[in-house]
Amino acid sequence: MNESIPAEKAGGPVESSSAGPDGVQDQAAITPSRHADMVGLQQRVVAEVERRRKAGAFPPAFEKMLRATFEKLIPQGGGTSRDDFQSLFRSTDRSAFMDIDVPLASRKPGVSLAKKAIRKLMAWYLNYLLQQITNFTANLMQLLAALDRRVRIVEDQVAGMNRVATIDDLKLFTSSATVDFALDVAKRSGGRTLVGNCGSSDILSRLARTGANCYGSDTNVKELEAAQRAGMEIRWSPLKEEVDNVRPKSLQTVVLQGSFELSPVSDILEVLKGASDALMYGGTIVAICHEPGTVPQDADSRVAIDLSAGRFLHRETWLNLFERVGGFSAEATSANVENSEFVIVAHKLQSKVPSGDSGA
Amino acid sequence: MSTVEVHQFVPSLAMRDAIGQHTFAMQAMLRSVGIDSEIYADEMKPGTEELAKHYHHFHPRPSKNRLLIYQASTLSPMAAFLSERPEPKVLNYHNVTPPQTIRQWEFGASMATSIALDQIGKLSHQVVGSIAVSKFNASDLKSLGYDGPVVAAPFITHASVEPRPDRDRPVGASWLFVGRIFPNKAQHDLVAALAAYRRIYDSAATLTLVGGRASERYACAIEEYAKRLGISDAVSITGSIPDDGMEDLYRTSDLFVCASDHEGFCFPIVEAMRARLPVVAYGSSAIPETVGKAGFIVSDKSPINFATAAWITLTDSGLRNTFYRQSEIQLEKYSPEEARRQNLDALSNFIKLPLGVV
Repeated sequence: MNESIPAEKAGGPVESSSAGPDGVQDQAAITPSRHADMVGLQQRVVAEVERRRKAGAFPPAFEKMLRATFEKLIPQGGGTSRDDFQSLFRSTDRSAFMDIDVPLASRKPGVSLAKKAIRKLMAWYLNYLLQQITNFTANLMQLLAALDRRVRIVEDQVAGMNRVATIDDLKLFTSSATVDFALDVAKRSGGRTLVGNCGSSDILSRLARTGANCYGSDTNVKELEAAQRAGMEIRWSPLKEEVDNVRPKSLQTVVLQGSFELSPVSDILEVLKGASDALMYGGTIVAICHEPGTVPQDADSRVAIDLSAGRFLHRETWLNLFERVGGFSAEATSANVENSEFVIVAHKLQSKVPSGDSGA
Repeated sequence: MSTVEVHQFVPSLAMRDAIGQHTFAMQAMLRSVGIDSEIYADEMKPGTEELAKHYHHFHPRPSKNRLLIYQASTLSPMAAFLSERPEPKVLNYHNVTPPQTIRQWEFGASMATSIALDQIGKLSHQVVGSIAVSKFNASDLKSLGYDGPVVAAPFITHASVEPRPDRDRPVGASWLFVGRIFPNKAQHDLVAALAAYRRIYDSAATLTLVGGRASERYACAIEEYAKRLGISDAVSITGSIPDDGMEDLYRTSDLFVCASDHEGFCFPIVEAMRARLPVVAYGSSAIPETVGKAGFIVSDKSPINFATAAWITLTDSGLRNTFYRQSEIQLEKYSPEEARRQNLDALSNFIKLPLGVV
C-alpha cells in the first residue's frame, strides 16, 4: 500500500516519526506525513477565522455564550462543588432506606398468592438482614454528614488563607524586560504559540506584529474585544480548558502569564500537564512569575505561601512542579529587580524510548 | 489429528454494532480456514440468539487444541469466567470509554467502565497475547499492562454504499454524525459548532444526530441546548436507523462531522468514506488514525474553528477531491480482505494455523 501520497495544496513539511514513552507511536507519528497535511489545513482555518473575527463575525461574547449556555445544562452531582456534594448526599440518603415489602402483583393467576406465601415464609430471614443493612447505611450517612461538616470547616479556614486576587488587583504589570525575554524565547522556538491569559500584557500583540503564528486565550471579554479590534487571533477560553482542548503536540510554545500563577498549586499542575500534552517535542513553556516577597503581606511561612491559592510561588516550587509533570528541562531566570519578576523556561524533551509496537 | 478450535467470547452480541460485525466476520474467517469456531455471549440482542450460545454452556472440559478470544469492550462477568479457564486466551481489544469522559453525566456507567478497565487489566497476566483494532487501542492496552499488543484492522462488513456525487454546498448544508448519544461522543460540541456555522456561513445548515439515546439525560441536554441557542429546528436526534435508511442518510448528507472526545476506532467514519461523504473530525483518541489523510482533522474544540473547517471543506471541491482520493487508501486499509490478512497473521502468533493460510 502506498502511503507516500504527494502533498496536495494543504500540504506542508513532513515531520519525523516519534514514539511515546510507552513505546507505542503517538498520534503524530502514526503516519508521519498526515500530520504535515493538517498543518496546512489548520493554517487555512486560522487565517479564515482571523479574517472573520476582524469583520466582527465571532465576538468573544458569542463564544462565551455558547459555552455558558451548555454549562448551565451540565447536571450537578458529578463535580466536586458543594452543590454537587449536597445533591449526591440527598440522593444517597434517599436510597439508603430499603423496602422489604416486595411487590406481589402479577398478571398470571395464582402467582400473586405464591409470592405472598414466599414473602411470609422468608420474612424472619429478610427482616434480620434488613435490620443490619439499615443500621449500617444509617451510620454511614451519619458518618458522611460528619465528614461534610469537618471538610466545610477546613474549606472555610483555607478560604481565609486565600488572597483570591488577580494580577490586576495587585496592580502588577509585566515589565518590558520580561516581555522582551518571553518574546525572544517564543520567536526563537518558531511554530504556533499560545499566549495564555493574553489580556494582561502586550506579549500577544507584539508577537503578532512580528508575523508569528500565535493566538491568545482569556476569559475577560472586554480585553479580548480590544485585542480583536487590534487584529489579533483570540479565543474566549479558560486556560485549563484551552490547553486541554488543543490537539496533542500541535503547539511549539505556550506562554503562561497573568493570574495563572495565583491559582491553587493543584490547578497550576493541571495546566502544566495540559500544556505539556499540547506541546510538540522540543517545544517550550514560558511561565512569567513573581517572587513571593513581591507583596509585603506575604511574610507567612514558605509552606503557607506556596500551598494556598492567591499567593506567588517560589522558583523552587515552580521547578518542582515541572519535575512532577515530567519530560521537561526547566530553569528559572534571576529576578528582575524592578518588580521581582522571574521567568521559567521549560523545554519539552524529545522522547528517547524506541517504538516497540508490532503491527500485524 | 484433532480439530483446532478458536472460540470467541463477547459480553454483548448485536447484529449491527461494530463488535458484532467484527465477531461474526472473525468467525467466518476462522471457519473458512478449517477452524472450528463458535461465539459465546452473555447478552444476546435480537437476531443473534441462533448464532451464538450463552457462555455458561461452554465446554466444561478443557482442551489442548483450543484458543479462546475475548472481545473486550465493557464490564462483564465473562472476564472472571475466562480467567478460570485453563485454555490459552487472547484479548481482542475494542476499547473502553474512559470514565472521566462520562462521569459528570452518567456516574453509574463511569463506575462500570472504571471496573471494566480494571478487569481487563487483571486479565493481562492470563492471556497469551492481545490484539488491538487500532494503534491507539494498542497504546491503551500497554497502559493496562499488556506486553506487545498486535494491531489488526477490525472487520467492517456493512453492505456496499453507492458513492454519492460530489457537490459544493454553500447553502443548506446537512451535517451528519452517527454514534450513540453519550457524553464521550460530545454531540453538544457539534451543536455549538453548528450554531457558529449558521451565524456566519449558512443560516440554513442542519445537523442530524443518529444513534440510540444511551444517556437520556445527555440527549435531553442536547435538545435543550439547541433550543436555547435558537437552532432546535436545525438539529434532529433520530435514534437508531436501519441499514437502508443509513445508506440514504450517508448519500443525502453533505458532511460527516465528529467531535468525540474518545473513540477506539469509529466505524461510521469509514462508512462515510465509503459513501464519499467528506469528514471533519476533532483529532482525539483513535480518530486521526482512522481518518488518515482522508478528512479534515480539527486540532481543537473551538466551535468557531470547527465551523470554519466545515466551511472550507464544503466549499473547496479540490480539497474534497483530495480527501476522496485519500479515502481510497483508507478504505483499502480497512477492507475485509486486509482485515482478514491482518487478523490471521495476528492469530498465527498464538495458534498453529493450517498450512498455506498465512
